[in-house]
This record gives sequence, C-alpha cells and structure tokens, in this order.
Amino acid sequence: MDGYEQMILLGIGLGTLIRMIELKVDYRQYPGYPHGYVVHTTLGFIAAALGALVIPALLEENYVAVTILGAAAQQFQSIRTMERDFLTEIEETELVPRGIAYIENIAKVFEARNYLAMITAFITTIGYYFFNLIGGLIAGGLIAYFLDRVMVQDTVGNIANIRVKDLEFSGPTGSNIGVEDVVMMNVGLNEALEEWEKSGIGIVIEPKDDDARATLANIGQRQAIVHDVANQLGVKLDIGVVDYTPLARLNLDTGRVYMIIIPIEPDEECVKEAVSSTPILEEARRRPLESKAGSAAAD
Amino acid sequence: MESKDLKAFVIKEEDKEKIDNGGVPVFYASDDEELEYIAMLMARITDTMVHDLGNGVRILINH
Repeated sequence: MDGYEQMILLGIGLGTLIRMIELKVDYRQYPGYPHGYVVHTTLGFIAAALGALVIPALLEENYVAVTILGAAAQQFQSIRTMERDFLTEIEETELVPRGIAYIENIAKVFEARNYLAMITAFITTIGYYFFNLIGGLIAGGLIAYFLDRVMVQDTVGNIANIRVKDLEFSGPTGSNIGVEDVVMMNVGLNEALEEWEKSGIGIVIEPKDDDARATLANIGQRQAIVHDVANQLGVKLDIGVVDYTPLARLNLDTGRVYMIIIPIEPDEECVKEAVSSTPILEEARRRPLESKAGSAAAD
Repeated sequence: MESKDLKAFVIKEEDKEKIDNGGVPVFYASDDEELEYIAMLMARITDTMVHDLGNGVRILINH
C-alpha cells in the first residue's frame, strides 16, 4: 500500500484526537485519570486505525481486508461490556449508587465514542482521497464537530423546571418527611429528624410536558439524578446511617418528582444547577406524545 | 426491587399490648430516652432504618 501513509496517518491522528477531546475530567471523575485515560485513548487509537484503513484497502481492491475490518469493529462492543462490568462491580462501594440504568448509559456512551473515532478517521481518509491533505483535515474536522454536536445528551434542565422547597413534617409525631404534601420518608429517630429539619432540603422537579413526565418517572432516571446531586453537593451519609439516604419520589397526580437530601453544601442555586445538569438517560427517555394514543389521551 | 425485612420492634413497656405475635424480636424500653437509644443503636448495628408508626411503636426495617 505505497502512497497511502499520509492518508492513513492523518485519519488515525484525527480519529485519536477527537477521542481524546471527548475524554473530559468533570465532576463524575469518570473515566479514571490517568489509567482510564490510557485505556480509552488506546482503544480510540485502534478504532481510528481501523477506520483509516478502509479506504486504502478498498483502493487496493483488497476486499478481504475490508471484511476483516468489519469483523474487527465488532470487538468494540466489548468496551461496553467492560465498562458495565467495572461500574457494576464498584457500585457496592458507592454511598449513593448510580443505578443500573445510569451504568448502562455510561457504557453505551463509551462504546459510541469509539465509533466516533472510527467514523472520523474514515471520513478523513475519504476527504484526503478527493482533496488531499487540506480536504482530509476539513472533512475530518467537520464530521467530528457534527458528531460531537449530535451526541450531546439532553439534561434534566431541558425537560423540567427545578425548584427548591422546604421540607414538611407531618404525622402524629411529625416523623413523616415530605414535600408539597407527598410523604416520602418516615424517620423514627429524633436525632435523625432534627438533622432533617436543620439541614434537609426538598427539590421539586416539574416536567415541562407529558414526554418529560414519563421520562422522569423512570426509576433509573431518578436514581441518576439522586446520584449526581449527591456527587456534586456532597451528602451526609455513611455505612450504618441509613436515615439520611436521599430519595426521589413521584407525585402520582402531577408527575412531579420530589427529592429530599441532606447536602453538605445546601446552596439553593447550586442544587438547581446540579439537578438540571444531570443527563437524560437514553434508556429512560419516553415519548408517549409521539404515539397516536398517547397524544390523543394527553389533552 | 429488593425485599424489605422487618428486623425488630422497639416499644415502651407500657405499650406492650400494641404488638401481638410480632414474629421478630420485641425490645422493651422503660422511657422515651431509652427507646430512642435502643432504636438508634440497633439501627446502626444492623444497618436498618427506624420508622415511627406514630403510636409509640418503632420498627427496624432493612431497606
């Protein structure tokens, strides 16, 4: 394959680069730094190499090579399995678990991002074939930017309004903790009850439409919100102290999600920000309004 | 959803008749302070949550 070096190298370079750009350290601290980074950069490199080799192989009329590339691409499914297994294993060590839906979502994102590297490398080599170096750079850059935009996940802030409310204590001994008349937890220890009264906050997540309502009702989605809020604002919780477990429950009449938590940092604006930045899980997303029955019944 | 296990009752002695054939241990306390203390200690040790039924009966449940 003489003469294709530049094409292949450019494809691999751009593909790996976009994979590295997608690896961001944020509050989730996932993937881990530095070793998680090495793992995913390497896999991104391999994916990009596969993508970059398709066009040269076709040009050489080496169709066997192309078929084998197809088989090799299958291997990237194992990334999803790897991430899922890892996160499920460490789930027990989390004070506030992510929940299986969130894990599945993260695993899927990691798999998809390798395909992103592969497609970018592939398109880059096509660009290079037709318009040489500049064409390759532009085509690769454009497709990477486009895919990056497409793969942005919605967040809770996009589909719901978030408010912070004080907790209400009802029942004969005031031990039922609730928000807006929805009782969510019964606490039998005075010590725990005082702590909830002192530093507990209630969060109201009000869906903007019926699609959002169905999405937020998903248990996995709610657990993801609880995990993310606890992750960003801290939570007063330890082994054996279950009284302060944060919860997210549904108001069956309005579809609002209520959440109670004792954050370490009870700043109202930050709480709102934390909730609204939680990603909407692909698996939790529902669109009843897209269906005939759903949209007709909605009015 | 995992099952929830009822681990124990904690009540004051004067409320004895409020539980009949509980199936799990019943702990008696002589006053409110002791009730709170037993419930707290049991909850911490057994990793359970204390719930107040509002009639003087506390139950320990493993969620």
